[in-house]
Amino acid sequence: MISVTKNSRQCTRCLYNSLHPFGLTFDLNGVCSGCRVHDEKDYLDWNERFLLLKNLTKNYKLKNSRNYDCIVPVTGGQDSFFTVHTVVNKLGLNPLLVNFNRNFNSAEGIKNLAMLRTKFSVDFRQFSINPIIARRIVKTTLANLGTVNWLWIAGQTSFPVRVASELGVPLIIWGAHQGIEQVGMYSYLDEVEMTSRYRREHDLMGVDEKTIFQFDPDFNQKDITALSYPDDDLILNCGIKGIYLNNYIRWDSVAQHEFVSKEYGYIGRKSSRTYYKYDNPDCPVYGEFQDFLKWLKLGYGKVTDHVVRDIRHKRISKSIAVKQVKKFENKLPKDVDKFANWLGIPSSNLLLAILRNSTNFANQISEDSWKERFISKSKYSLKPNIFNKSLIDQDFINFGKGI
Amino acid sequence: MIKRIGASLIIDRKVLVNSYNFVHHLPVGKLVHTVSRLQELGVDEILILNKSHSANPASDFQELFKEFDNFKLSTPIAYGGGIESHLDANSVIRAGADRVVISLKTLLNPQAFFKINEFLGEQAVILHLPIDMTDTSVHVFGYEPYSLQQIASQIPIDWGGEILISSVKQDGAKSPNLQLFNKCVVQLGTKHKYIYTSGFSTPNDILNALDNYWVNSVAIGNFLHRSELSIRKIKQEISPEIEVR
Amino acid sequence: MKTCLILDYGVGNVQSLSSFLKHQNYIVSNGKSKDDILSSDLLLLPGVGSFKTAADNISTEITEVIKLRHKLARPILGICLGLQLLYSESEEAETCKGIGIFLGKVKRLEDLSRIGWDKVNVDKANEISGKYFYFNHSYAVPNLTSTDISFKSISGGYDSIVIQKKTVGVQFHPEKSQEAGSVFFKWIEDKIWGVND
Repeated sequence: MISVTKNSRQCTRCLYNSLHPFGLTFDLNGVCSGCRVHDEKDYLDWNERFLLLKNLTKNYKLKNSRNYDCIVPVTGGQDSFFTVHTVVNKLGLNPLLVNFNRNFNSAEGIKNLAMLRTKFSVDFRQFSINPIIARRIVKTTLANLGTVNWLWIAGQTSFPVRVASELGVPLIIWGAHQGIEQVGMYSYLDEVEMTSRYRREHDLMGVDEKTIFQFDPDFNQKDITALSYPDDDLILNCGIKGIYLNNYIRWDSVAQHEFVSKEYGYIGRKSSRTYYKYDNPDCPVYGEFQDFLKWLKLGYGKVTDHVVRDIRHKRISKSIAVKQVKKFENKLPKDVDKFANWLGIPSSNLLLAILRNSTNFANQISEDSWKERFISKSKYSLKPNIFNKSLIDQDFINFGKGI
Repeated sequence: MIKRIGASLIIDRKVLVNSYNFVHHLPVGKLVHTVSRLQELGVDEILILNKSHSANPASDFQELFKEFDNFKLSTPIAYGGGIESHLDANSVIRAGADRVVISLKTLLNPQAFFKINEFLGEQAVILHLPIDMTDTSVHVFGYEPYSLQQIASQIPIDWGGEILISSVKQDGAKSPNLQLFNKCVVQLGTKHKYIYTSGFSTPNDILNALDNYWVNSVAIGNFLHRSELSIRKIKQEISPEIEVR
Repeated sequence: MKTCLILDYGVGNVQSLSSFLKHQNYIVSNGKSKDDILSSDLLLLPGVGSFKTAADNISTEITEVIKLRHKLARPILGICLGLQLLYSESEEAETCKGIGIFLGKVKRLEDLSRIGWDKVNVDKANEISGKYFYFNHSYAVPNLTSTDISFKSISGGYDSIVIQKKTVGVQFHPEKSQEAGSVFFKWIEDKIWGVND
């Protein structure tokens, strides 16, 4: 649970507070901006808004052309199925699906990605980054930013834009804008588009591929080519525009997942750290170890995001939400050994280093208690500078069923 | 001098926000990321208005800008929020701003207004007049008793500063109310120089505003945050009509 | 690393300048000790403020030290108000004296103020000629023929760059002129101060 401190403010409706990394504002009734913008879902005319979307996209629909009408970034989870369903079946567009290989693909994620292609009969392009560089970047961001997800977000948010500029397909269609859905960054009426500023600040925590060098001076430009975001001149000349469907469709991920599961066979995957299994079935690290890191760093995990979503959609009460959070958020993540093995660090050292460096964790539980609960002093020891150790000479090891 | 395309950034409780009708605010993020991006895009100036200022504007400013240490800020910054004396104004300038934005409250304190201008130079002062409308009156937001003519009488006719005009109704909207602005200017005085803001997002609206000889600059607000290359696209589209940097 | 003293006369956008100079690899201090005025690698007279407030805070002694520094051809940069202070007098404060390195009187602008970006054309300096720089002033020196200036550039009918020996005065703000400002600063370091020789 995000602890309320004297410097933070809690929403009177949901469980978010002002320490949310995206920022949060509150109205006079103490209701947060996320809840307030969510209210728009119940009073905007979504039929009218969908017509806006149709008018916008029809300008990009190419008749008698061998090129694609748009680019749709996809993963084996999240809102990919609903997005592709909307693009193909409701808007009648011919998309190219693009995917940045997350490397830790679960069986469910691989199957979902395959089904996207077969169920919708579309073309698909995937990019896999150099696995040695991948491991090095993940270690760097883990040590310096407290996340193992940075690399995949950097790739997922740049690869589609590179493809768009390369192929001359200017329109990129995303599912939901996370800033709106979580903290109400914009009104749906604003029709916010994809911006590199949002990518740098919120997706990549203020550090993009040009500034990641500060953490490891041995990185060189070539290492980061896979993550490069097209420059402004290219974006301007190609007329690239990224839109979000949640500005035009009343967005409800849970209802959408139910629909695509029934209609297309979309598969979820159980997580040890939340009750909801349909958001990120494609990546066992994101829902487990990465979520554990998030909880240690920020004081809340994915289960809080899920209960907030359910509170806003009136599926659960606040008291049930609190119970769910308490039940799940401090669960140890699964598959840490596999991930640590891929990273080239003993899992005990990995956990120990993170636990000891996490002040938030120290706030959650007393020093003695966590030592007793998680680490036996005689069994494990912390090696200094574990993140500086290079394992580039080790053979690349697949984790899960990754490609 | 060429006309300017600037940015208007609103701060609420240290967070950069999207502003709607001066009342509702939605979080955008940290100031440093937006300012750095705007500088990359070639913005001509950045106006920062702090709605939740303390009694110490210089310390508010320093707090907002403490994350700028590694960033090479080289764009003119005008800052407003609680500046009521020449000491406030000077301390904000020394802390890193280049111009100060003052409210009607300060204008209505002639001694303070005069001292600020004398201390910094008139060109470093921007007077912010947020315009509100009811059925019966057009007035400055929060100052209903004062007519625009009364306000105009407080501003020296040969004042070298600029007046920032915003509109409560158009704040956060997708189009400005140029008719309203131009009417206000007639009452305030066309000899002064103005910055228009609130509702600007299309090249056409911006050109129509800049077409008036008294308008030196248009400051774009929410639109900056919701569109890629906002400033650059605008400049590219208006450049056939007017000279832009 | 080079040192820069930003002269403290009670006004000026000190922090902006400090940040700009740090990125140009200077160690920056703010003060008015005579030793520092003479010894620092660069003496900077900041802008943003009134002539009267600044002049009232520059004693006769400090004026003499600055003039000595100028005679010794040690780099001085006056920005905006700083440039105006290098002249002998200003309409803005008739009873106050400037430092008097450049001859001339600073006058109120006909248009009352110049706020924004304007091009500066400089002969034989392609790196900076035709670039836009940021101006923000109500007073300036009209373009008058003067025998004591070795280099001058005009913008909008007023002195915009004035150079004599290694004393440089600019009416615009290089620290707020984005990339053009950095290019200009490097040009002065290179061509006028010989810093990179």
